[in-house]
Amino acid sequence: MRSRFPGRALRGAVAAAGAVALAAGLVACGGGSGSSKNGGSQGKDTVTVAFRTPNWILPISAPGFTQGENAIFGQALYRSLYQYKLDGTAQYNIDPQRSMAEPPVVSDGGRTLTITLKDNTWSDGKPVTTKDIQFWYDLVTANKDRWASYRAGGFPDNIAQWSIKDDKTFSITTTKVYNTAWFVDNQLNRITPVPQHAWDKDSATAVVNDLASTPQGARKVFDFLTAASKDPKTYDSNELWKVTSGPWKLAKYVPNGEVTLTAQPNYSGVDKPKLAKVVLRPFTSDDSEFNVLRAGDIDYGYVPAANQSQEGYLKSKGYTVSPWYGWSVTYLQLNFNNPKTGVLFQQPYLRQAMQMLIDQPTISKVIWSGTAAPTCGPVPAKPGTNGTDATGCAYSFDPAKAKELLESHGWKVTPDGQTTCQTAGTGPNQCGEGIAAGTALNLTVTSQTGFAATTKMFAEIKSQMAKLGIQLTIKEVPDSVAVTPACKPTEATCSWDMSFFGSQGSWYYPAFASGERLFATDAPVNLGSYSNPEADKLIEATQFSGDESTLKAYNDFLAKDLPVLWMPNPVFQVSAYRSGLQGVEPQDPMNLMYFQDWSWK
Amino acid sequence: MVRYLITRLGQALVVVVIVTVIAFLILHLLPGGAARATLGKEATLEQLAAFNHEMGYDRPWIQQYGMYVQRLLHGDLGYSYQLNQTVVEAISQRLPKTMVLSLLSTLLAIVLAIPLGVIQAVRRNRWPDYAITSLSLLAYATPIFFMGLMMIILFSQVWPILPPEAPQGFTVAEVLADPAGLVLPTVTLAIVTIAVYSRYVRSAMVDNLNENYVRTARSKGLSERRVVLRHTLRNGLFPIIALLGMYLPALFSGALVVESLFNFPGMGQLFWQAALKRDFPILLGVTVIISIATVLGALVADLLYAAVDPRVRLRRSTT
Repeated sequence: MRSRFPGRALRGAVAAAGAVALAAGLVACGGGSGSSKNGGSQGKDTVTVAFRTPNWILPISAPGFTQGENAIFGQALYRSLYQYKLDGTAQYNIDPQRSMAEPPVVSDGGRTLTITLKDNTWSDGKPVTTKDIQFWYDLVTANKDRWASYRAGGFPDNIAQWSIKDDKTFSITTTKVYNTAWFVDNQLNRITPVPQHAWDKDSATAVVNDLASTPQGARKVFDFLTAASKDPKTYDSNELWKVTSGPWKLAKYVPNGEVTLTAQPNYSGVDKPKLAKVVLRPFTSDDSEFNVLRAGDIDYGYVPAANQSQEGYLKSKGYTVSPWYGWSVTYLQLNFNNPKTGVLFQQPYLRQAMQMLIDQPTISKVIWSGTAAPTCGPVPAKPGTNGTDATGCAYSFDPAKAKELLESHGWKVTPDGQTTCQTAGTGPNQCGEGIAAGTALNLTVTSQTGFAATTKMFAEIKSQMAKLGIQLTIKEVPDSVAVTPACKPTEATCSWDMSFFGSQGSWYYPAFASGERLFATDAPVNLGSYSNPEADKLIEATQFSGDESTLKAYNDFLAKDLPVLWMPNPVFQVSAYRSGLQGVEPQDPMNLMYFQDWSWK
Repeated sequence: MVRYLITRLGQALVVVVIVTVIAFLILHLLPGGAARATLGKEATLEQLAAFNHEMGYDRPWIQQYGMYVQRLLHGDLGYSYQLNQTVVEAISQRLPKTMVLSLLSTLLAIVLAIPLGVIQAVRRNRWPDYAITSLSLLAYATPIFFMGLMMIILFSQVWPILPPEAPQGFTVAEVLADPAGLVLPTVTLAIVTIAVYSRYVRSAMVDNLNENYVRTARSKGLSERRVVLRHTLRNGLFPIIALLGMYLPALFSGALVVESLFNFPGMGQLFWQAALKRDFPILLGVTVIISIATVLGALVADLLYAAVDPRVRLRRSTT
């Protein structure tokens, strides 16, 4: 009797397991999913793209919603007045094909720019006119405190006169004479025509009128539009978002999920979509994205840094793997205001010595597998052109010279020990102002977690610095903490020494790579509180002088003065797309994606 | 019974309040402000200040907590800037999907673990016991991330019969409409649970099979099958009932690793991403939900225990 039970139970258990396996098998076959149901779209008129879910649709950016995916999504639906390209072929970098207006005509000694719109229509067939530009201007002027692109003193504060000439022409007169290239690239890039005939109202049921023509009315309209944009679950059903100017229309939107764009049949631009549908699929992690990419279930994705050794496998599966170079620079932020270590960073020789201990070419080549390039100064090199070569950098990797610099300024260098200030004082051979005798070079780097290459990079830098007795402590934290705040020495938050948030590039520029937001005294993203009157003068010159040499002068000065330590600049991402998908290249260095150029062979 | 329930619910309420206070304090001690995390490095000081003011982060924490509780009592868990959604929307989008995955994996685990545990007990110290024990330990010791990855490589890449990601549907119906997508994440999640549950069942069954009541049943001439299934198994399931009660919070909190690996945006991912981005409203909202689930889970376990074990009811009624 006893022997009967286990046999039956065993059979029962096997039967249960078999049933589960069978069910799984049936599900796999019957569901028809396999790898193909959600799969890639090669040979069809659809493309599936790995893409974070955008969460802002109003083409006037709001603080907190300026992420790259929102910019790409926004451009797919609402084109900016000007689109830019950095290949050096176009006046003011304006892309003549994609832009909605002709390049501006400059008059009045550079103060007035007259702009003529091209013949474009909204998706409902109505023409895009200067009324739509005026509507945008009224909205941002009355709501600049709620507009992410607003900077005190910048657009629209720097507009003395805004006038509409006719349906197609308007002019802007500035308060000062600006460098036209700077103004066109970094100020006019904010203008996005918005459909006045559909949006100029303060509720869904209200009748469209000229409500936004007064500041009070413009605030009401902005409230209404913002509230609609804060309701993502209605993006694909709200009538507001059905009137668009871009090449795509929103067919389906799942909050924090998949987004489907379909070709806009009434698109009036010249770059008509070649595909019928683009599916934007978000992923919960790099691993899940890469697993799906390996399985061939998406047409365009990215190779996470940890998986770059699998490039060959992806190629064997019919993918093209291509680095996406950004119009960016990467740096290690120094806190000049730190009450303890700020005095160290104030010393140019010390910054120079530390820069000489960062072997950018080797790190770029070995640690970043060639997908990073040395940063030499604040103005990026032409994307993808400089490889891993550091030729032209003001300070190349030179530990011997770094040691000499320290010793010649009163430091007792103790290799693999603790280098200390031996000769305090402000003389040429002394440590410098505020540095007491016996001060050690112990510094903490707050760096991003989750990037294997970044971890290895700082291990290498730490090792090089230790050879000269500079002791680094690397503290890895989430992205949000790695962006250390600008601070005053008296504030509790000012205890950080150095910070790094450049695993995908520290800073991406608009078309004109000037530094008024980064390195000018009190600039909003001058997180380390660097201040140099000469730098301020040169930065101002890039904004106000038409002389093309100003940008070079600014770059050369800051490349040497080291407001930060220049670091290898990683690509924005390593893209992988099906080899049959054409039009993906060139990948826009300013991180936009033009799906309308994509097609299957 | 009613009095007992009311007492337990009162205790639960106190626990939830304490948890929210602790969570609130810890979150506000985290380095890196929510404003910078949300608005990014380009945000101006004015924008940061405006954000902190709008969210109430510029007020004393006790005041912030008071406002939070006030909103909570009205069913308002706050708004997430990071997601551009209310917390209620974000949770209600993910919770049902997480529950589908967790329930399916638990069901699968129970269906397989109980017979496996029984076999081990009945065939104690013989090859089926050794084989299942070895496999259980292997499953238990294998990191779930590695196991999931192996599943994907085997069944989506080497033999591409199953999709490498979970269903991408928005609603539960859409998720269930893609059963193939559920297979790998469900099985991955279930494997470790099977290993744990089967060990508990084995242990309880072995204990019970040595009890006098089993000997009595056998001496009465009952078949071994009847002795095991009718008399012993019920008592052998007590540990599983306790485990199921404690499993309730997991049902709500999701499975971070599996969600990450199989692209299944559930509660685990929601909490993890919120932690990385200092999304305080989401962190607090999820904490509240999970703490409620935890205390309710303990309560449900107690009630179930009482339902299946007359001794518990008897003890309770005599005290």
